[in-house]
Amino acid sequence: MGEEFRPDYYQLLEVSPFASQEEIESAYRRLVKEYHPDVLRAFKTAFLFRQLQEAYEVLRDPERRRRYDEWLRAKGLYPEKAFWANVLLSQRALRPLPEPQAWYVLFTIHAEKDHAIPPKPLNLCLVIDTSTSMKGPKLESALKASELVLRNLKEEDALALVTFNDRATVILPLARRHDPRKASSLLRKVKAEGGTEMSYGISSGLAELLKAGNLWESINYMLLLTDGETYGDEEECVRLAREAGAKGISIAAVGLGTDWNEELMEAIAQASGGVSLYIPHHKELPKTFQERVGALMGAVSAFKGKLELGEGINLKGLFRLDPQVSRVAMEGGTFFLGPFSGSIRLLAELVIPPLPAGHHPALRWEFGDLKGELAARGEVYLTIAEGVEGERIPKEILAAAGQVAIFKLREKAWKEIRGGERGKASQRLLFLAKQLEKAGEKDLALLAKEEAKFLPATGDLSAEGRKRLYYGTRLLALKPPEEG
Amino acid sequence: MIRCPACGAENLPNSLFCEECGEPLIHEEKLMVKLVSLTEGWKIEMPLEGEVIIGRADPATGFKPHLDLSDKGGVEKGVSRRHLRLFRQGNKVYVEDLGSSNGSFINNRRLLPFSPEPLASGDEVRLGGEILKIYLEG
Repeated sequence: MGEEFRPDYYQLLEVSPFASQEEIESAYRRLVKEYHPDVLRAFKTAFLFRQLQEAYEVLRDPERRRRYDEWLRAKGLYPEKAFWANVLLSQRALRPLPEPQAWYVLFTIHAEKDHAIPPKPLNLCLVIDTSTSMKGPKLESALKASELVLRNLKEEDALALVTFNDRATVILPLARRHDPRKASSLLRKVKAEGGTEMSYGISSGLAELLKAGNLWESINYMLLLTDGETYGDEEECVRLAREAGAKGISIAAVGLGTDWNEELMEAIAQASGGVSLYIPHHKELPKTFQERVGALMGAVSAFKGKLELGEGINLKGLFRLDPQVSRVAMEGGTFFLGPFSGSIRLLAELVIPPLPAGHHPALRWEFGDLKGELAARGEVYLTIAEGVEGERIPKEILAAAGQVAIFKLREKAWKEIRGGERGKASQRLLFLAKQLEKAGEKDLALLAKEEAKFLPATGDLSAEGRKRLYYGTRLLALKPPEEG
Repeated sequence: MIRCPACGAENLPNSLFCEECGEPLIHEEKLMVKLVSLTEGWKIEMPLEGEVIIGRADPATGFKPHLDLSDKGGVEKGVSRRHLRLFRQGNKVYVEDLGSSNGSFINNRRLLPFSPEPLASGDEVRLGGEILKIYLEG
């Protein structure tokens, strides 16, 4: 970690290095009101105010800002490309305590608005479950959804379609510009019969996507659809998903109905930087497929992230907030974020050990594409100082941590159910209901209460309640953060 | 450790939400307190998150109250170093005389030293000879 401490002026003003003079000006005006010694009642926090002033003095002056940027560049901390992660801290300074304490860091990875990176063509594979349970309208909807996707692709996009039951079958090999009529007649021949061996489907889908050759030049995505549970190859599915993620292929794991394993689908999604989705009724499939593919159209590249912790500092959890709340699956500090478009928020929950007053290197971060062409990195220092209190917690952090708190309650309840702790799980669902109610989610709150009532006797949730709670509690994140 | 007010579970200091029940562990809504001096005419506004001590700075001990009346005529008006404190407990704001030499009054009624009384927005509080009108704004 860094050898000398020099405050990150952009981070202090809560702006990115792309910020205009006007943005710097308005950020300073906003913050100075909060950190003015007359306002911040803790009387030893004047240094926070001085830090703000120092940052402003440097960044408002084009020449001093240029020199500061040069210094950042020399340290490899200046974004050469058009995206950045803004860093927001729950508190700018913590008091020295004899016991561990909590600290939160919110990253907002975003592209600079005036520097659009050209989007890349799609390299897409649909992997459809054709086990017996898919028979009839479910399969029809899935095939209709697939045809719609095919028809709406651009000329430069490539598509493959694989089906799986006890084995995998390539219906449409990876190609650009499939003949729609020929494709339709091939799809019409697809039948549903046999069991569900999902790892065969994933493996075959990956093989198709890898045919594209240069994966760096495309957005690589698998839409995996199942309506049932796979047996015995769960670990293989997740292993394949991680392999996919490392190659820049993300998986959208879509579950239809209520008879599939949501934790497996989520693990597949997280390992590859994708998402998992719950589709209650097959009629929604065409819309869901369209939306998923539509969301990829503006994507620039598959992104990954890396976090390195300072000495003694522990990461309690890393959560992604967009497009839905999820716990980020990390391996050796690295994780996959999937195709990047728009912005992604990540909340890191840290545990800080007892530390003496001073500036401590807490976190080194890096986000970028898998190829290493686009990269932004930075360092977060933790300031420990006596007598700091009364600092406002940024509302963005409160909103993110609130969503994560609900997610974690749900996560704990699932673990307790799995462990046979009926009473605990039931109580947890009641806690969840209370927080959902406060968040204005009346229907979900009612559902959690109902499930809590029956849980002690049955030891499990209803099939539908399970899916609705699992996905409903994470989609709260889809609401835009409060204005203000 | 800090204790969750809703379920009693212990959480790390500075945790934002209870690990056990998801309850927020900090005051989300900021409360502003506006003090208007009826004798001197000054006005000051500050957030009330924990407590606000009103008094006079003591250079000898390094003590500084949150609101220092030294340069606002505090000595002449008989304001003690630790004269009065405002603090927040749950949804209520309380006022407490800290054993001042010349006493504190709320709406012309004397406050017993070290016995907090609830404060309502617009109440008049007297510290020695200094009269403050205190407004609370959520």
